[in-house]
Amino acid sequence: MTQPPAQPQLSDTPTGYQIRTDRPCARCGFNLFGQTVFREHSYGLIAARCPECGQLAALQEYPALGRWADRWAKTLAALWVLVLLGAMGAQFGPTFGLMFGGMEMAFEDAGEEISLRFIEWQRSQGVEDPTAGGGISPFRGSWSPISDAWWTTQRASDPLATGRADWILHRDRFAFWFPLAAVSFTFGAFWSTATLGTRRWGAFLLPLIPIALAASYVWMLSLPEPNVPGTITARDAAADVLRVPLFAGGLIAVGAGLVPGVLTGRKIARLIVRLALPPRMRTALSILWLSDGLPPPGASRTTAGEP
Amino acid sequence: MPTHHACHACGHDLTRARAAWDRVENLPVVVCPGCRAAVVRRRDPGVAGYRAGRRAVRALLLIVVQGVMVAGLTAGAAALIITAGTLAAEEYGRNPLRVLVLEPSLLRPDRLGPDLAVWTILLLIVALTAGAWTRSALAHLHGWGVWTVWVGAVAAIATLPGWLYLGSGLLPDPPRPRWGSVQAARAMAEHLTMAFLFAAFFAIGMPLGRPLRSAWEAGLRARRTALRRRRRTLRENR
Repeated sequence: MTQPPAQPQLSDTPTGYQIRTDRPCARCGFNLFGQTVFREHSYGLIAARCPECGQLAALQEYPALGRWADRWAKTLAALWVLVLLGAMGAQFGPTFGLMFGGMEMAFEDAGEEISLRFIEWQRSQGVEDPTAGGGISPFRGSWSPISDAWWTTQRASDPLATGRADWILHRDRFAFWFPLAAVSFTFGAFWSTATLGTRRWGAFLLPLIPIALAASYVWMLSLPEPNVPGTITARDAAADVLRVPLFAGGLIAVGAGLVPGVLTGRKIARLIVRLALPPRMRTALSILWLSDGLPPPGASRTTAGEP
Repeated sequence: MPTHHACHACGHDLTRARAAWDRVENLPVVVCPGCRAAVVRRRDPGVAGYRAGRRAVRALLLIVVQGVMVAGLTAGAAALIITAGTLAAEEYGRNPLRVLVLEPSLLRPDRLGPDLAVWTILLLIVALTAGAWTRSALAHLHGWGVWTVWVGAVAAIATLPGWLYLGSGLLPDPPRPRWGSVQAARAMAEHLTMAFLFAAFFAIGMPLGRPLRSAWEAGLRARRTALRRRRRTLRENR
């Protein structure tokens, strides 16, 4: 027989809340889920009443620990925020270094090539003394000045066009992109595990902050620097051609590591726990299972009602 | 001082009643001596939180210890395999097993010195430790599965420079200088021999793990019993 839910007595003060989780009645075992929470009139206890047997269920069972519990909780929360900020810093460093290193190495190699082509062009023009008449004296190297006008005419025909794919997809680029993907994978797995309480997109959101900062900084540093009027450095000329594809390559490497890292991070964490800990100790880290709606480690897989 | 705990059925003071751990429900249960009602001993949320945190920290520390041990033993074994294998190939020009078993006279101090024997003994100690560790700290895993993965990883790491050198020579446009190490490629047989020794002594070390684990757990139990006894004495004398 279904009985109407027990109502608090008139002198009790409803709090406006209901019990939203399973809580058996201490006397008859009836589930108090959905019962009104009120403040009991004689002692001021926060309580609910069992609709089956009328037993008062005091919901506040233990004395508060005083102010130190709250202080400790706040201290630990602040420490956790510091850890997350530190992790962002730790992710920013290698992400920036590997993205910038890969691009800068390509700029320097291509810049050296451009400087050589400029020297050859000057020789083909029969210029014996380039400095005569205020001309520029190039040298073989990425920081060599080259004529802006020459570069503008050359850029249309793209002096690196013949070997452009080689410049971008050179083995040396992958020497940076593979570690970049590995670092991003590691941090993706870390953030996936560190943001257990959030949805999956939350785990993507936090690592994107250091990545965005690192990418912005790399882009800013790859822009040309002011030079003698009418000239640019060969490195800046190479950056002019290679900046976008190499930047995109770096971001693709970050994404190729981060996405699988975030998607598999919690699984990897659970695997590490399973490998390293005996079953008895795994329950201490059961949050790794419970946060994804999985049965806790060591628990029976059969549910109530199943044989 | 223990937190007050009363029977919800009859109000009997259960503070001093011993809770038995219910293995099915995974809860500490106290049976009231007054009315025989079974009640769950719930700890104060603050204490329970602290203990849960302590358990989690202990579990994390154990993961770190496992990681350090496995990584340390793997790196140590790989380094010793490379060192001893390269020494045998370059200084003796022979397989290390041949030097150690058939021609130990070569290890005399006035010849090349005992370095090869020292490195090999160290490698065998590392292998025995890894085997014992597998059957003690990693006893919850399948022993021979761990052996296969661990030995494979050590052998792969130790011979990686040689494989890289040999592999990079097969590329259509071999890099210059080639990847890896030419010395490692030349000493590949010696390195693989040392890896085989590591695998064998790893397997020999595995049966040692269980008695070591039993001894450790017996010591732990004895310490806990002594602590409990001391606490009980203090409580009774209060």
